[in-house]
Amino acid sequence: MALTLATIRNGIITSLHGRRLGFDVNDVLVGSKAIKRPITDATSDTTGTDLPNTGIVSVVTTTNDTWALTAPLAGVEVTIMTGSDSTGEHTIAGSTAAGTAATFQSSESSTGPGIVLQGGNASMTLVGVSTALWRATSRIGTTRAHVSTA
Amino acid sequence: MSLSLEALRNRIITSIHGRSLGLDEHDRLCGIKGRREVITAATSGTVGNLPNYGIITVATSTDATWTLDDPEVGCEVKIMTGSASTGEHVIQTDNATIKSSFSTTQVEFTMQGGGAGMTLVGLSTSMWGILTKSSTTAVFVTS
Repeated sequence: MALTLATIRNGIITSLHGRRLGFDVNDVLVGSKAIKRPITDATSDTTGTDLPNTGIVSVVTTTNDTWALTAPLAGVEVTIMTGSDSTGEHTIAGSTAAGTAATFQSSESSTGPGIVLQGGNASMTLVGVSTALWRATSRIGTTRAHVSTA
Repeated sequence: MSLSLEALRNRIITSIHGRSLGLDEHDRLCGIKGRREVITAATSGTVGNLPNYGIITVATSTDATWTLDDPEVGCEVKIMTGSASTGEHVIQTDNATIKSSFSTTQVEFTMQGGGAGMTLVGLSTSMWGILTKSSTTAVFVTS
């Protein structure tokens, strides 16, 4: 079941950059080894700065802290993970471009205003469903990684 | 709450290839249906390191160990068992560590059973972060 890079590149019928990037017969983007995503490190000293709504975001606090998450863009993912083993509550609150609250949807709640991560390597990947709604597509956590209900 | 391909393509303000690929007003890449990734099928007889990108299946009927190339910062790799074997599929890092719930200095993880998988992302050139993990039998990080 292998699919080599050379095989994938052989399927390019519309080249964007030689054999390194192009479209195949199904209009699927092919040819690159990977896509590099930005990584943001947020700490208890940066709670006044909104977290970006894309890429990978690490949050660290030794106690309990809350960060605001930039308003979602429909169809765009962001992954938020704890950056230490701290037992503090890492709370991420949603907001919209208009300054109102964005909501989060998960299996636990459809109307949560935020998410809480606790413990080492807790993480949640969110996708913007609209400009005011995030939906969790995956989450892991040993202590807590869930949508808060209040 | 749908978002159609046409709607996404209508948002392109910087075209890279017509309406098939471009950037929207937030500099997000859009217009594509999907992205095809490399799939590497490794077995107990595979020689050399596993690549640090794409999708990797590992299969062994007993217990086997593979070494994963060190990470590229910001890039993901998805590793999963390629069979329902109950053998221990052990993935060791080359020189990097794995940030996990148990410690920040683990250097390998074990998958067991069908449907076990883990998605890793390079947090630095010497540290992997875990984005997702799933299992029916076992997926855990060890030192």
